[in-house]
Order: sequence, then C-alpha cells, then structure tokens
Amino acid sequence: MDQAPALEIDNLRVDYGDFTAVDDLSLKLPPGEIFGLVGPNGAGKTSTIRVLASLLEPTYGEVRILGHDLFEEPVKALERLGYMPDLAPVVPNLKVWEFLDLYAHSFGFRGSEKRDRVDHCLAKVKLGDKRNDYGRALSRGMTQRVVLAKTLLHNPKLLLLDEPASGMDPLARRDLRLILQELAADGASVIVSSHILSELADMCTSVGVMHKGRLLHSGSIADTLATIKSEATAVRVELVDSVEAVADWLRRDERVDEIQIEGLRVSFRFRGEKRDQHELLRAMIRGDFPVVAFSPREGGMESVLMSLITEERH
Amino acid sequence: MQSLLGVLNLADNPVFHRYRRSQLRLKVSMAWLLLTLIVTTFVTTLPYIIQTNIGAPEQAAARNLWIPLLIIQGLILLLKGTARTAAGIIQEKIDQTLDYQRLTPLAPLKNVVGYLLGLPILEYAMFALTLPHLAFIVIKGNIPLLTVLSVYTSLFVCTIFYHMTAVAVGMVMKRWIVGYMASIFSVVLLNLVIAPLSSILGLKFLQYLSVFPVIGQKVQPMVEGPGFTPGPNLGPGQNFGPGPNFGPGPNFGPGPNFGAGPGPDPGTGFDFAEPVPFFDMTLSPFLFTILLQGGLIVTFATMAVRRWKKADKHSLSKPYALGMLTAFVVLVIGNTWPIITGQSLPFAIFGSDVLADRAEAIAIGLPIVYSLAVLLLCTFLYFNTVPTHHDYVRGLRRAKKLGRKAARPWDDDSAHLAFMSLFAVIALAGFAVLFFEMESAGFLRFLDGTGYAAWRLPLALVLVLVYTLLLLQVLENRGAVLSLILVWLLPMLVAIVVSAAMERLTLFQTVVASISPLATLLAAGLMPIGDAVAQVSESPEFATVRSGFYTGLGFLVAQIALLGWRWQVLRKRLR
Repeated sequence: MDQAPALEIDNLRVDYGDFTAVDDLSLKLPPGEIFGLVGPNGAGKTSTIRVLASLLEPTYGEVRILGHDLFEEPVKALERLGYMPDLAPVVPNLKVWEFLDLYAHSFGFRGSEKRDRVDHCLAKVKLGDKRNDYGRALSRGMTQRVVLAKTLLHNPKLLLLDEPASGMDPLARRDLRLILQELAADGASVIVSSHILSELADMCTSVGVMHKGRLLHSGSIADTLATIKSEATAVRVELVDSVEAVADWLRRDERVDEIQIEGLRVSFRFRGEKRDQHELLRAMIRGDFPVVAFSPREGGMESVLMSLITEERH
Repeated sequence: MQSLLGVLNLADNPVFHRYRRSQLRLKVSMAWLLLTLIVTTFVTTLPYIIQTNIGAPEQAAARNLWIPLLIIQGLILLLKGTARTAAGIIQEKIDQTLDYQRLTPLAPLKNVVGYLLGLPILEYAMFALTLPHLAFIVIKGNIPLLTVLSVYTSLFVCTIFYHMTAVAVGMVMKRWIVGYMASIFSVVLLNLVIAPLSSILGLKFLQYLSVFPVIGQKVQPMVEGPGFTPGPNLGPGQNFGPGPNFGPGPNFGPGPNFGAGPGPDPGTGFDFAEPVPFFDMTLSPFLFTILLQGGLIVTFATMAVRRWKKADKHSLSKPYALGMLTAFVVLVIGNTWPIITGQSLPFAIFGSDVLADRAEAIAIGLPIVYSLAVLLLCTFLYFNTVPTHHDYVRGLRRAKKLGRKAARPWDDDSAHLAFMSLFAVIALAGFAVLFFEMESAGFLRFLDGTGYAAWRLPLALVLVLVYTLLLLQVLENRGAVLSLILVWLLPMLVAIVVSAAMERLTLFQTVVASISPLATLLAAGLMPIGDAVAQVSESPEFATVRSGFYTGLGFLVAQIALLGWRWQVLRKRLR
C-alpha cells in the first residue's frame, strides 16, 4: 500500500446544473510531488479540490487517496489528508492553541502528545508567540498560517491547499514554500492551486493547467516551460507613432495573435524561433515602421498559461 | 454499546470542549449567569416570603414556586438554548469551520452530540444556577423525588428534541439571524398554538411535543394554593367512557354518557392529566411524551448526521421519509382510534360537547383533518426528497456512467414517479382504515343515508399529492413555494373577500376558490354535509359546494396534466 500513488483521479466530472465545472479530469500524483494546479478564475480548481476533500459530490469519477477509494472508504482515505480552503477562517472566540487543540483532539491526539503536536505545528509556521492570541486578533496572513498549522496537525500524506498564499506577505510565502518542500522531502504530496502562476513556479515540482474544467496540460515545470517556449513568445514593440498601422500589418501574419495596443506599444504573441523573431523585426524596419524597441518575453509562467488557453480556444 | 458510550462521553468530545472554552469564559458568560441568579432568586424568594407572611403553610408556599421556576428554566433551555443552537450551527457553516470538522475522523454522531450539547452550554450553566432554588422548593415543599425526576427527565428530553431540531434545521439554513428568529418562533408556535390546536382538531398526540402534558400530569397536582388549584375543567374526565348510544347506527342523540361534566376543557382541549389513548391502549403522558419526542430526536439526529456526511445531500432519504409518513399515519389513527371506533371520546374535539353536533363534526372533520395533516407532512417530505434539476441530471449522468438507464428509485437523485407515489399509497391505506372503522362505528351512515361517497376525499388527496410532487419536480423549491402562495392561497383569499363583500356564497366565489387544490380538498371533505342536507331540501349551498368540488377536480386534473407534460419535456431536455 505504501507504493500506491498519493492520488489517482479517473474521469472526474463535476456539474452545476448545465455548467460543467470539471470535465473528465484524470491525474496521478506520485508521493513527494508538489503539484501546482493553475488556471484562471472559474477553471474548476476549487471544485476539483473540494471533491478531493470530500466536500463536494462529483457527478461521477473515481478518486483514490493513498490507494483508498474516497467514496467507498472515506474514513481511511481522509485519515491522511489535509485540506486548507481558500480564505481559510479560524474561530474568532478561541485562542490559537485552543483552535489547534480542537482539531488535534479530533484527529485522535490525547494528553501530552496533543500538546506537543500543537506546539510543533505552531513552531513550524512560526507562530509560537501567538498561541494565546484570539482568532479575531490575527491578521489575514497569520490566519492563513494558523490554518496551515491546523492542516499539518495529523501529519498528512496528501495536502490540498486552495490558494494558500493569498494574504501572505513575501516572508510567509517563502516559509510556506520551505514547509511544503520539507513535507515533500518526507514523502508527502501536495496539491497547491492558484491563479497566479508565479506563486507556484518556485514552489512546485510539477504543474497542471486547467481551463473551463479541463486539464489542458500536466507535467514537470521544466518540461512545461520547454514545451511552450518553442511554441509562443510574448512580444512587446514600442513605436514613435503609426501604432494602428503596425497592428494591421501584424494581423496579416499567421504567426501572430492576441494583439493589444497600449499607447505607443503593441503587444502580441508570436509563434516562432529566435530566427523568426529576427525576420519579423527586419520586416518591420524594412516596412519603414518607426520601431524604438522590440522585446520578446520568453519562458514566463504567465505565457505558459496564456499559450495553453489560447491553443484551447483555437 | 461501548461505541454508544464513546459517542456520549463528553469528556472526550473535542467539539464540546471547544464550546466549553469559548462560551464559559467568565467575561463572556458573567452577565447572563448573574442575570439568571438575580431573576430566579427574585421570582422564587419574594412570593415565598409574601405567602408565608400572610399565613400560608410553608409547604404550599414552596410548591407554588415550582411553576414560575419551570417557566424560567423553560425560557432558558427551550427558547434561548434552541435559538443559540440554530444560530451557532449556521454560523459554523458560514465560517466554513464546519468543513474542517467534517474532515476529521471524529464519528459524525459524536460531532452532532458535541454541537448539540456544546452550543447551548451557557444555557445549561444558567439552568444549573436555578437548581439550588429547585432544591429549596423540593425540600420545603416536600415534593417526592420521583415526581421531580420525571418532570426534569421530560424537560431534558424536550430540550434535546428542540435543540436537535435546531441542529438539523441549522444544517439547511443559510443565515444565522433567520435561524435564530425561526427557532424562537417555532418553539412559541409549537407550545402555544400547535399543541392546543392539534388537540382540538383530534391530533392530540401533537401536544406531547411540548413539555406541558407532563407538567399537567406531575406538577399541577403538587401545586397548592388559591392561584394553582386545578379547576373543574382540568381534572380527569371520567364520563367519556363508552356508552350504549355511541355504537353503530343512527342513534347519535344526546345520551347520558356524553353530557357536560368534569373533563377536558372544551375550549382548549387540554387534558394533561389524562392517559393518552393509543388504539386500545392507554399510555401515561410521561411515557408517551418520551416515546414521541425520542422518536423525533432520532429522526432529527438522522437528518443531521446525513447532512454531516454529505452537505449537498437531502436531509432525509426516500425510504426514511416513507417510514416517517407511515409512523405518522399510525400515530394519527392510533390516537383517534377510540373516537373512530366509537368506543369513547377521550378528549374534547372540535370544541363541541353536544353529541349530535360532535358525531357529525367527527364524521366530517376527522377525514379532513387527516387529509390536511398528511398533505402537510407529505409536502414537507417532498421538499426534503424531491431532487433539484441539478441533482436529477447528476443522477442521470452518474447512472449512465455506471451502465444504468437512470438513478435507482430510492436514490437522492431519482425522480422516480412510481416510487414517489408510495407516499400517496400510504396516505390511502390510512384513509382505508379510517373509513372502515368509521363506517363500522356508524358515523358515515348517520351522515348519508343514501350511501357515503367515500371516494371523493381520498381521490382529491391523491390528486393533490401528485400535483404537489409534480410542482416540485417541475418548478423546484422556490417556484413551488411561489406557486403554493399564488395558486393555493390567493384564490381562496379572493373568494373569502368577495363572499364577505357579497354576504353570501355564489357560484363565482366557488369557482375562483376551486382553482386552489386546497379548496378542492376542503370541498371534497365537506361534500357529505351537502349530501345530508340534500336529503332534506334542495339547498343552494349544496349545489355550490358540489359545483366547487367538481370544478376544483377539473382544475386539478388540468394542472396535473400540464405539469406532467412540462415534466416530460423537461426530462427530455435534461437528458
């Protein structure tokens, strides 16, 4: 059983009336993986995570957590699962340690073991000095950290974190990254969702891109970037004038799409190699367009997302 | 047994401890605890001093304090505690902290017990502060300990019942203030309106949903003094036993055993000290209250655990709903059995104590009350078991994935008409028993010498049940509620206003009213009056009621056909 994948999803579908939030999603996550689930708002990330946390009943599909069927053996499946929702709350009229004590007790810890576990998790999120503060007195970022501590209480082997970094300052984000990497090193798997790719880039070992309920792409960060790099590049051109004329001229090029005009700048996506970019610039100058700057912005995670979504649209 | 003890072990219940910590902090609870202590001490000490000063015996003076103390304790546990439980569970849901708790391996029932006893823990602490006053009353009043024990067992069971209802309702509601107000309103309604009204209408068992019957049985006899001496109408009514004139046949004239005498108050129907009739048995109010409330506690606990396991599931499964309807029908018939079999009249009914009127009122009224009660319960059960379009489609897709044509009939996502028709079958079975026994007892022959047209009311009830079911399936909850207001109530109200303005009942009002399925049901129930009157004279009212019934039946069939057609179209579209 130890060799079982941390998570297996087969043909998962979630409908809200006529709207399909998750459409035939299949995924396998090995132990020790930090998987970033990324996509724009409404892509189906939260619905997927809520199904995995057993808080939402799917239309159909199979989910196995550490080899246990989520719908057939929910108690065993959920035993080693940690879930941290988006904008996770704490109980306002409980002290931080009381809040954690509640869940440590619920997860079966008793006596000194319970106290030690609470202290350990508080130390892990660097909130040991806040243990006697009330929930209502915590900032947004601190609240997120307390909930993260709660999620870690029972030493989960699969963590589901829905937009965990929202509200966290850069230091807290770094701490979150370190905690997740530490957990992964211990063999735990993590699914982190976000609509901000740069949040995930330095945190995850693999990434899945969701759009309109479908998983468009999944793979390691490096593979994903490599795949996309050769296919599309965001380019920004600065001009002295004739912005509309340049945009019209670009529209005639089949390798160009998503043209946007901002003042004297034209941004677009260009499918082609470095040499093709060079040819494009030469053609613009030969066409007597007043180009001041030509800036290709390659490899960013945002362009990965944009590229995949645009491909899906086409 | 061990696991049940584990569930009830509050020392090992983290949810209970969570509320113990948050609600019993001195600065949070101090004001309420002080208020309780001051008010209770004032309410019990002052009357005691006054009474003893004017020469009342200490025992009587102490016993007289028991009911005021019970009122305070009831307000704390039943009103404030219920409201706090409902509001608290809704707030947990809004805050999403309920979801955290759902994901822990703590058993669902243990969670429910934790919330049930933890949310109103401040109210239990306030109640505990009234116990020294109770001890004073018991010692000074020389009240038997067994009596005290049975009264407080009943109060505790009632408290658990109300709080369990609040937990179950809180799992469904979305705004805490609505839950808070609704629970206060429900407690007041149940105790001060439904309990007395239900007894008058013949559904006497509903009054055992309050704590009053046990207080009537156990506390009232204890209380002495001018203010609390039981009046003649509250004493046991012994003259309602079987009498020769109440047997089958047309002899429903006034007889010696049905004259006025000590017994239940005909105005309210309350008769707390009397044993509860149930088929051929009589049960003590204490036992009946415990059994009835215990059954409902189990039902609401089932609802809460079900919602706990899956937040988007129905509160009740379809088989459980059918079981609940069956139990209700058995309770209704069992409770009115001595009346419908003509054996005795164990409690005042329809506020009438003239035999001839009562016999007719029973023959006409009981089937109508039965129909309305069953319709009310079925509507509640339909609202809890009919799937939304979203659920229905989800069920279809899931079934297709599993290689089936549709969801299984008893699944939450199923809208299987034949399975849902079982509700109507159970209602009809109850009707059959009711009519058979009433016929045997001679009630029906008294009303209709030409043969009672027993098919009208059951037919109308079945049609109204099918109509309600289709309404929910086609329009879903909100649309159905709107339709209930516009189609069920509005035509009746218009007809009533026009009749009041014209000072007579004409065909116009009857036709308008008959648009409402509820009016059709009432017209069907009132038809026997028309039949009886028709034997004597060609009354215009008879013709009006008859027209109203047949017009209403026409409207009902037309609406069912329309909804049925809409449902078929919708099913094809949803598929």
